[in-house]
Order: sequence, then structure tokens, then C-alpha cells
Amino acid sequence: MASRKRAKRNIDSNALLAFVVSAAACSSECPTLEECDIRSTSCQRHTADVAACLRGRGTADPPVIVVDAEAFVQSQVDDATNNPPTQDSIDLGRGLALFGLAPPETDPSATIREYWTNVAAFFSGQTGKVTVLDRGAPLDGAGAVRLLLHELVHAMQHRELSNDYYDQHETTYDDSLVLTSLIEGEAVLYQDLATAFAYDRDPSDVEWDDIFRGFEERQWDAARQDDAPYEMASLRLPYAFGGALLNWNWRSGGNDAVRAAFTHPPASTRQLIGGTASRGVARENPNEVGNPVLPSEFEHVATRHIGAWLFDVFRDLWSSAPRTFRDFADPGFAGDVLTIFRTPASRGIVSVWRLRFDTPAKASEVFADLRTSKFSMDRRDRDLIVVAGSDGQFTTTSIEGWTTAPEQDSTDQTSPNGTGAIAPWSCPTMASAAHAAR
Amino acid sequence: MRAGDHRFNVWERRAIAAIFSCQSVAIAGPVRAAESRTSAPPDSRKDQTVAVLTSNEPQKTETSGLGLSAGIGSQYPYVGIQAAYYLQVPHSLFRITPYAGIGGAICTGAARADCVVGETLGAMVSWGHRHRILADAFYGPVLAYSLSFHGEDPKTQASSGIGLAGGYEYMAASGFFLRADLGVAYAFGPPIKRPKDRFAPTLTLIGIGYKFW
Repeated sequence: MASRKRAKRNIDSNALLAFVVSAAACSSECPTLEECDIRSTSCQRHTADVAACLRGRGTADPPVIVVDAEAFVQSQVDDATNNPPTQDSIDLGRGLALFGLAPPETDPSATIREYWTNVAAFFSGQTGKVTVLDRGAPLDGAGAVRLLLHELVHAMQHRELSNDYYDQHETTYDDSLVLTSLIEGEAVLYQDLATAFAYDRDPSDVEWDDIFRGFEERQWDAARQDDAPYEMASLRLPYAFGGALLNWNWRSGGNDAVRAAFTHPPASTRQLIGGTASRGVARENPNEVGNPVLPSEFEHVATRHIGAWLFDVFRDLWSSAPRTFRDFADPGFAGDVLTIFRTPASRGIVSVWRLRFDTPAKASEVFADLRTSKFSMDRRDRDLIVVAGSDGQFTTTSIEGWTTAPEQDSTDQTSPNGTGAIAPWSCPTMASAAHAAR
Repeated sequence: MRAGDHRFNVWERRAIAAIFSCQSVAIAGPVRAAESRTSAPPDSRKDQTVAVLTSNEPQKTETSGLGLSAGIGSQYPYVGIQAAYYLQVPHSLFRITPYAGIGGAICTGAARADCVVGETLGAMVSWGHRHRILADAFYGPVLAYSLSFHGEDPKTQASSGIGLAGGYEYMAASGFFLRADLGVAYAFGPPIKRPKDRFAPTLTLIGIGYKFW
């Protein structure tokens, strides 16, 4: 495990020697971050050296561009306006909106603005560039170099992880969230370590558990305030919970343990939320009975396995007793299949969500908790079936049967509002990332 | 060292006389300080008066001794107390005063950030009798910063460094004193700060104390 000893300062008559020793920080194993203009190549090179040393490997020298944040966000909104989402994307959003997981309106601009307002910078695997969204903060200050380091870690990851890795580990929405959490979690880890060393903090003296606990609590609460939880999940979960996971791995086993998380990633977001207590919990999507058979007038739109994070958000949005993260206890959610249908004639939408739990008792608990909600529900052994329709008429009794659902999500991963929220190589840094004040 | 053992040179005696006496003085030769007012030197001329000190006891302004003070500023850092030992240079208005201070209220003003405690070690060189100019060199906290990783309450840390300042001190005959100084300091960290950005002003706004002997 990388460690660093504090430079010791002597106050005897050799004050000059002490000054030199302290200024040079000659006892560190890796170079430390230094404030510099992130637009300069020397600054980028030094910051990359810090990241590579802390990671124990990797190189990166992507172009770094700085753009006006407001202009960039507007360009994203304009792009979405000029490239309207497909009908399938629109109806996917409408289906999610029935459960409160997406905004009821189909105008994507508000969602896009909400998403990018929370982004300070991002690395694009498509362009190979780091883009910093300039909101007026100094580009040669501590915050800027820490942001740059975060994105340079992403650039290093891009060189190391193949497309096959994504094909293998990103077959469902829940898988995508897990993978994003690893990617962001590693960048958060090395950003934090670089920050600690740069401010003369020994990482072994930092109260990481308390810090991440608070971070997770705030993101947990924020997710329940979002207008678009489905879109915002890629910002709420990965940094706090992925950061906590990778930080814990690093403290347990150094860089090797961080690498191991990528070799053997968590099976689901349930493991991320539950922390160490849920590390070995398996995921079990009810695919064998996951596809509802509806009358012929219903047309299939999409199948998703959206996972524990969004299930917990959904539950708290509709529960008679929503939980804070402090109150959280694993509800025994094992997996899910969400299927969305439309009726072309009436332009109606029906969402059928089959949830599986560890035991019938766990399913009953959730059933009881959601009983006062507007949804039509049915419990079958360990499964809970929740149904919502735009016309309010569809119930669980309208389902004619169940067939096998695909293991992978059905559509092309495009999010309802076109933000590409689960695009792993668009790796944003949250605007509310670590800061220091003089 | 007793005041009676201190020998002022001719310039010092004239300065003292000018400050404290309204009488003209003509000094025929070296005059011992703290001589009794009731007796004149055997060879003094009757038409001459000699300014003499009014007490046989050495004044605290001229002795080596311990002073304790409280104050605000870099010597105290930043609200604290200090112990200083005045080392009087014989036959001189100079003194060297090493000191040690401890204080709290090292804050950055960042929302929800804590404040920390620090210690300062230094030494002053001063010149003067009661009104003194001083030069101060010290090692102690010269920079403070607050750090939050992910939105938790920031933790404040102080970076130590060295400082040089110039200032003023007043010491009454009773031993009461006050002082202030202003200068510049250089912090040894944090590593993220560029060396050129580690300079900071240093100020001892006020220190008030008492010299015991």
C-alpha cells in the first residue's frame, strides 16, 4: 500500500536544512500535485506523472480543452433538440415516469441541463480529449489540477480496458451502473490520494469511512430529489458508492486490490449500496418469468434490468415511510425485469416491473410498504409484480402470462432523453467534487 | 545583573537626561548611575546639577528577566499567550528576547471548518529604553487551509514557516509592556502550493504583558 511519511521539521540551529527538506518533501514516494495552469502541457505532464505513480501504472497525454460551461450545456441542449429522441426512447421515458424514475414531460432540455450542471469536466473515449467546463473558477488553482488528475485517470483506464471488457460486463442498465461506479470510483480514489498528499495529509490518518458515509448519504438524498433519477443515477451512485468501494479496496490491499475490483466486479448495485456486508450477495434477475404476455394491442418498447439502486429510489418515492441512508437495511432485492409497452392506437404506456427478493417474506415487506401507492401489485412467492399504466386502467390481472425475458437489456442503451447517461467513456467529474479553502 | 552594575556610555546618558530631565546637565566625566540623590560627587561643582535616577533599584526596562503576555497575532498564534525572556546586553539599550507562544483560533473562515492550535518559537532584538524598535524572527504557523474531500465539514490545518517582522514595544518601568509588529513569512507547505505562492504577511496586532523582573 502506497504510503508517505511526513517530512519532519527540526527547529534547531539547522533551520535552513529543515526548510529545504520540507520544501522538497523529499520523503514522498510519488511526486505531489502542484498548482499550475491545466492548459499548459508541463502541468498536464506533471499531473499525469502523479496519477501514474499513485496507480502504479499507466500513461496518458490526452488533449485538454477548456470550454465555457454555459455555452457547452446549451450546445448539448441544442444537439438534443436537433436530434430528437426516437419514439422508443420517448416511450421508455414515459414508462419510467410512471414509477417516478423519469420526468413526465418528454422535453429533454431540462434533464440535459440538470445532468450537465453537475459535471465539472469529462473525458471522452470517442474524441480522446479531456474537456473542462469553465464556470469561472481559476484554471491554475488546486481545484483545477485535482479535476485534471481525475480525468487523466479516466484516460489511462481508456487505454487499459478493452471494448470486449465492456461487452462482457455491460449487458444491462444495472451492469452499466456498476461499471461506471468502478471507473469513477478509481478516479475518485486517486484524486483523493493525490489531494491528501498534496495537503500534507497522511491517507492513513484520514477518516475515509466517515467521509464516504456522509457522501453516500447526501447522494442518496439527492437521488430522491432528482426529477430524473434514471438519468441522474450515473452521477449519484458511482462517485460516492464506487469511491467508497475502491477506497476500501485500496486500504485493504493497495493497488492490487483496486485492480481486482475490475477483474471481479460487483455483481450488482446491491453490492455497492450494501457495502462490505453485501459483497458476496448474488444477483438473480427473474428472467425465466420476466417477460409479461399482454393482449395483442400492446406493443413491446423496451426491456430493462434496472437494479437495486433505482428500486430503492422507487421504493422511497412511493413508500409510506421513506428511508434515509442511515436507516437503510438491505431489503433483500435480488433482481428485476422491467418491461414497457405502448398501445399505438391510444398512445398509452404500460410498465410491468417484476421484482425478485431473497425470500417471500422480503417480498411481502415491500408489498406492504407500497400498498398505499397508486400501483397495481401482485405477489408471487419471492416475486413482486408492480404495474402502472398511463390510462390508470391496466392492472396485474391484465397480464395473460409470463415467458422468458432476455438476459440483456433490449434496446441500444440510449437513455430516454438522449444524454447517453450510461456511456462509460464519457466520464464526467462531479462539479461538487472535493475542494479546499484558504 | 543589577541596574547599579550597568554603565551607560556618554551618549546614552545624554539621551536619558534629555528625555527625563528638564535641567541642563553638564557632565564633567563618567557618572555612575543610581547614585544617591543626597550626595554629590566630591569633585562636582556647586553650580552644576546632575541628573540622577530617582531609585536605587534597577528598572525592569534594563534587566534580564521573564515576561508573560497575551495577544493577537503571529507571535501568539493567533490568539494566545507567550513567555519571553529578555536578555539585556550590558551597557547597552539592546536586548535579545527569545520567546515561545501558544494559541488557538487558527481559522480560515471556511463554512463549517474547525480552528486549530499552534505554537511559535522566535526571538526578538530590540533597541531602546522604554520605547523600543524591534526585529522579530520566528518559526510557527504562517498559513492555514481547510480541506474537504467530499462535502464533509472541512478540516483546518496550519502550515509552519519562518517569518521576519519589524515592530515596536513599549515597556514601563513597572514592567508592563505592549508590542506589535508587521512583516512577511514563508510557509513550508502545503506541497500543492507553488513556492512563490507561500509568502504571506505576518502581523502581531497586539501583545500585552508584564515583565516580572
